[in-house]
Amino acid sequence: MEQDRLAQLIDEVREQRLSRREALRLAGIGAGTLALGPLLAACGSSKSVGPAGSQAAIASLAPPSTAVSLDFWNPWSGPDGNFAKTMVQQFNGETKNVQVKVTTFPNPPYYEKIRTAKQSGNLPHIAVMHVDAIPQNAADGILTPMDDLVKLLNLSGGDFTEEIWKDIHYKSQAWAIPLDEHTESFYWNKDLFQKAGLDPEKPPTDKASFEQAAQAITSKTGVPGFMVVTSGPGGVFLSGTAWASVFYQGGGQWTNADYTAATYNSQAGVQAVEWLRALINDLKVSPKNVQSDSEIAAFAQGKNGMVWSGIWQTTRYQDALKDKLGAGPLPQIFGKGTWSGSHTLAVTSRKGMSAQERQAAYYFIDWFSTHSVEWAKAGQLPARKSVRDSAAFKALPAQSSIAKQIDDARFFPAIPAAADMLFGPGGAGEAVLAVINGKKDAKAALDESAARYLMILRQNKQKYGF
Amino acid sequence: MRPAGHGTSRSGRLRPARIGLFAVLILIALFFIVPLLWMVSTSLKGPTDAIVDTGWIPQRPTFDNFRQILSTSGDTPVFRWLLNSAIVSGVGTLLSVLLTSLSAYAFARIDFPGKGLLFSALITTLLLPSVMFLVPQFLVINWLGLYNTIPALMLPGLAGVFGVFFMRQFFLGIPLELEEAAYVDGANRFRTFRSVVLPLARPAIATLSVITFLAFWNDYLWPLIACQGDGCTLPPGLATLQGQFTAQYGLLMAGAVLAAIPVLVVYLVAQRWIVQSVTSAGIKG
Amino acid sequence: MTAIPGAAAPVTRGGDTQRRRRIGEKWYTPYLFVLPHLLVFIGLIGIPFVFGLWISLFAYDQVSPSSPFVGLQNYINLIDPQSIHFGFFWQGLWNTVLFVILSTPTLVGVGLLLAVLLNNRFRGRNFFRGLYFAPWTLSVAVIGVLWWWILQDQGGLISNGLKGIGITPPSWLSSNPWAWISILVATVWWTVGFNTIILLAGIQAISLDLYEAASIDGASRWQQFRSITVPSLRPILLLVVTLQVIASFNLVGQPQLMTGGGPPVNETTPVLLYIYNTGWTGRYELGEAAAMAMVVALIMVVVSVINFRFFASERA
Repeated sequence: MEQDRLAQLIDEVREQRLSRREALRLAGIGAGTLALGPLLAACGSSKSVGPAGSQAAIASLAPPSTAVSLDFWNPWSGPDGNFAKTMVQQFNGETKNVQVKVTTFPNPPYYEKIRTAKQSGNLPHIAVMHVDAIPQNAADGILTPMDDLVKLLNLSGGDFTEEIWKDIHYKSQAWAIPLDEHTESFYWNKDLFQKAGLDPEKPPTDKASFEQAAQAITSKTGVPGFMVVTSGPGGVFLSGTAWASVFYQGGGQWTNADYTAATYNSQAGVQAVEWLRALINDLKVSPKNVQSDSEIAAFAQGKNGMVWSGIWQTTRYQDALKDKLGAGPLPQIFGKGTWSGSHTLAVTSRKGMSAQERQAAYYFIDWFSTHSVEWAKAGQLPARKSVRDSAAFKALPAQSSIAKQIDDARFFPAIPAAADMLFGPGGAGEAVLAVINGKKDAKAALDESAARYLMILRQNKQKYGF
Repeated sequence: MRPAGHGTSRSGRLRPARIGLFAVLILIALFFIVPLLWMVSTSLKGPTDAIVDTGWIPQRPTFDNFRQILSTSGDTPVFRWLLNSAIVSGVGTLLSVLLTSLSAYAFARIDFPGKGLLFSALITTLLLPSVMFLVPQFLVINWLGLYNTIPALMLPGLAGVFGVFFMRQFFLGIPLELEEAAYVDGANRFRTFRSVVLPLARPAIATLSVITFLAFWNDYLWPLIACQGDGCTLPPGLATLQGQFTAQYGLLMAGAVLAAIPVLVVYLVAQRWIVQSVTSAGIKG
Repeated sequence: MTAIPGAAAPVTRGGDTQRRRRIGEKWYTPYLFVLPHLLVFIGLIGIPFVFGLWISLFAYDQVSPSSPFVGLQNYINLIDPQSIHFGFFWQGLWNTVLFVILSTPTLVGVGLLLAVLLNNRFRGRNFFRGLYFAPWTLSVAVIGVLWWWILQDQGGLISNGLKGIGITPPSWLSSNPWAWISILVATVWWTVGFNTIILLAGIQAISLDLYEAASIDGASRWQQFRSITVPSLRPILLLVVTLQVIASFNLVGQPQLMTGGGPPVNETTPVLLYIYNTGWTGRYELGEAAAMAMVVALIMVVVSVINFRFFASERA
């Protein structure tokens, strides 16, 4: 990007205005006259009338009186999927009238699969949606609103967490029921804590105690006290989620209230990345070159004192470290907050779905959500509060300990493609990697990234009208 | 019997060269074999050991990865995937080699109006990134009502231009005189093609078969789009055994070892066939 | 459709006069040869190609209710330094072109070397042939993981070994030029078997009489290689070089799985990865992705024309 244009964009981010040229270009995209409809029809596409559809509201939550079979798609490949399959088998055994057939696709291209299925009229009844995919799929007419189910069960944020409840809504409608939250979580090696003269049962909880523990392990055991991922295939994801957690802790917001400007180049963003860089350069507790996943391997091998990973690593760490593993909420470096993803369950706009099928789908979704303690064993926090409060969940030591931070879990703004601000090309994740590798200044890198996403946000606002 | 390789007649008086050859071959072989050994070693490690045990020889060797892959079930019908893969790759290769050889022969040997333009058009599409075609090909397949069928998995491969280009280049190298002789004997084009050109092109056909077979066998993205469940081939099927967030290294490597075996067999059979055809036909200039 | 001059021109012995239609042959005979493949081609590549060209003129989205016509805007975005795609597209294209330049001579050269070596008759020849070929049977996911384990900094096999004998190795995957060298080495390991078996088939198709005659004339092995093997292989070399350029242009998986596009960001991201991310993730801008693919294809056409010209002019 040219230097003067960059400076100009940074001005725009600061002043939140749009250049005339940019506005004209956006208008040009929006004002197209020729639609692709006829061509697509010739290719066998099926377009829904509108995202809202016209289905009748479901009035009771019970298995339908006649037998119904439902297709259920998910991206839960690998061992995680087996927990889900166990649950579905249990459901099918208990509910003779509703038989659910699970189909698992690797992700990617799970969402591409759903889009082609929409195009060819082969959507399943129920699909798992990552929470940040809801707005896009809702806007594209792949999902149907579930406000009738919400009303029927009288659900509210209090039944889950307020943050996730906000995020399953798009344009004031509820589009899915949250199943789990997978938060960035904190793991430590109790053995190395002991060797470093630290109390393995009292993990660090704030900036000072975390830095002190990292330094003690680094200097006394000879293995790194902590590892900040600096590059590699998962670099953007792993450094990005670590940074986002600290960014949330400092009170960071991705956008302004009406989604017209990216605001993650704020003080919260800058101090978060500067802190990560300081762990490498100033405190020297993290090595200079850490490829993604090598921090996970090193921790599992007992060659890394502490690690921040997604909660889905829990089972792997337990297998490797056994009773030497400590797990809990992230230390509060600048306050409360942690990055989190979430799987949600949604009903699609499948062609010709009957009221019976819809009712059965609602019944299944509610059943799955209230029985999700089995799913928690895969390394997940149940989104449903009643499940988190159950004795069965509290019997899972790592998960229930990490669950203490559930109300601190933060999500992307509920607009299409919001996750790109962190993971996309030129997003915050790339900026973070550039900064911690000493390629760019913290403020400049985030300014440049926010300038790019200011343009993208405005294009998206034009396209989707959020 | 004629020697299959060149310079073999000199091997008797070039002992040092022979030793040098072996030294070079073994050096290169090490480069090729070391990562493969790591692959096999990892395939024999359990899910945790695959990241914790960094030794070359597994501390707790296990066949669990292989067992897990080969234990077919309703959700992971591995043998069904294997069968689909075998059909798609086997039949696909036969058809593809046949279609492209025919086409390539015309481009190499016969002049006809529009030939240059047509050939350029074919080659141009070879230059396009294949990911480009994903969505439109899906639309075509869906329009034909072939979603999740064996032909759907085969058709895009059969449309490929690679074989045409490949066979044409080999046909260009076959001396024309041989065909002329057959023509003088009264054979028409198809007979010349079948009884003179194809036998001479056996090394090329065998090579193309291996390449095509492998392309079908390893194809991942297209089957993922065009199939589901037990209609799939092996690569997308095995991918569903991998975790959404966490890679199962041992399982990945075991799958790779198993999937490589049929291709290696095809390759070695083809090699044998090439050697036989060269020794028996003994191409003459 | 762009024509490639020289593509259909004869590249080897045998002039135009000899390949004309034979007397008495029906006009449709050549079309009968071409037709079966052409029909499948038109259905599954021809039509999709036209479709791609068409949607590159739209803000096309597979499922979105509106896909407005934008004219050449998707193309203009690629030459407008102020567009969000400009920097990433051209950086990606440069990365890919760099890889094409690095990898084509390497992979063709090593492939030729291996083919010549393997054409000798010696004990265990099939073992070596099978071994050099074996990595090529693996999927890119496996290649990526294998070489990641070998090269990564914290506990990787090479780094561990070197640290064990007191050498501090460079960061193979996150510093340049090592990242590119790592990708190149992994690619040679993975795909050189492909070039090798094609070139081997080519060498095996060369008449033995030529070598025998040269041998009687007292030509050395090197002279035989230069004056018989290379010239006879020319059509096959053209094929291999062209295919290698295409394969290298299609680089995606190795950087995606080994370096993640780094050292830290976008130093090794290939253009196809950016095209894929544009069309199939985030905002699903398929129209823009189609336009990018067309531009990449256009560049490849130019490269191929040069390639074909080069081999055609070497004929004399």
